[in-house]
Amino acid sequence: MINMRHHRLSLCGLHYLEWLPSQVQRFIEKYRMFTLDDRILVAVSGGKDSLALWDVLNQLGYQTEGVYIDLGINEEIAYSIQSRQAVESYELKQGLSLHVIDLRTEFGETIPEINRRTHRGRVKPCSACGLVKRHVLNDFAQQGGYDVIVTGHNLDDEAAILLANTLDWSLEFLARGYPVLPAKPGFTKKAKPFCRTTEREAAAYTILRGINYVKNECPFSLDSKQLTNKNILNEWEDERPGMKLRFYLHYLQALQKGAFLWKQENDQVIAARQCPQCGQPTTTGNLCAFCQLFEK
Amino acid sequence: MIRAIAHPYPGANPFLLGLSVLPLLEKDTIAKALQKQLMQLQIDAQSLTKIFASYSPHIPRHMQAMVDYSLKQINAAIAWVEQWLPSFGWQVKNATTHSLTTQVKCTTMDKFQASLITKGRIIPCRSNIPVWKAMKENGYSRSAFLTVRDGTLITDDEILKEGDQIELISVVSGG
Repeated sequence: MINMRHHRLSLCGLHYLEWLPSQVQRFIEKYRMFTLDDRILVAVSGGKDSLALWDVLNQLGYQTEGVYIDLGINEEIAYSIQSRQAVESYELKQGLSLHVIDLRTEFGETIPEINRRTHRGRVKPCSACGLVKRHVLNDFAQQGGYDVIVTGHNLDDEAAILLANTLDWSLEFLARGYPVLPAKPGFTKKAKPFCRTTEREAAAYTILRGINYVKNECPFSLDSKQLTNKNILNEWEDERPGMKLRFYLHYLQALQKGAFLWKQENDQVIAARQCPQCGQPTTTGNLCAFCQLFEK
Repeated sequence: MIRAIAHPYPGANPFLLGLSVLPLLEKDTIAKALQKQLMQLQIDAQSLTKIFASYSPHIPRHMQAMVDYSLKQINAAIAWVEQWLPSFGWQVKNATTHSLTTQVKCTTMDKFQASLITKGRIIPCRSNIPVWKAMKENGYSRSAFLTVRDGTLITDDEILKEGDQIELISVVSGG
């Protein structure tokens, strides 16, 4: 049994495995994320959310291919090795198609090496890693002609990011928090079908489906601000069930009503510039942040 | 082995040897040494209590006896030091011993009847309360964990029975 206090609902395992995909299908349609005709690239990390999402999309009959980026984080714990094993064993079991991009092979450096060498990596390791993943995923999707990239970002992720951006008044990021980012020149469409699914719900799904996921946390994320924000939100959620969902949904409603619209339009102007090295869109017209990271 | 159980006072006691030379030492030096011993005894008692609590209630009977014996000895030593410290010019605050005694009593009286298990840690908790309440009492958010009993997911409003072992699966990840 799993109880979802924010929905005032408790379900047995069998019904839960029917309920979650039907909910995700509802969100895919509501936010016009993609259709059954689209080629979907699922970014899988080996964690519960991305593997649960890949499984749900397959249950729903979507055309999916997985992509795993081997970040080479194996120094304190064999995190990337374990993650890759989890993804590959799921792919084998389900008979799906998986692409593996090895950072060391493709770009000559792993995330720990980049983090040691660059200022950005030393100060904000998760930010450098996020930048690399976004660039590599977009590049792969562009070359492969995929219609949409989907990620396993869940409600807890979205609410924690929203909290951080609200506390910082980061208007630029607040303008981009919609669960679907449309395709733009040089950018593949992105969607987050789990945006209204809690981490707890995704974890329950993987357990009930018998999906083996990596339980270890990335050693770089242990002190991250996002974890702190998630813990704060969970404390509030304990006292006021549904708070996280309301926080996020009311924000989406505000976005739909035109909040931060001037910032969104500004973004489209910026996206017209291209990085002279990789050709991906950039804010400055000079080297993009990714190419700057690899410039020695 | 039987002899070891049957006979009290095994071996020489260096502490008694120390007491025999008290007339040669300054009062202040003795008081400081005894204060140091008192502090160490209290730390020992507390850590023993914590270790015991982390394994309770599934601790084997012979280990219960061992821990109980050690705690009673430490408590007796604390009582002795507190009784004698004033005669070397240092007044003992009563509260220290009382709180320690209470803590030891709570543990050895089997206050904890169920346990929560997470990330290799066993956290003793009360039974006859909902799982979420036991989680709250031990500082775990119910929104951040799934609860599993005997390999099956359960809702956190289920009532804990005596001897229940509830596994808490952390669902929070991020970076």
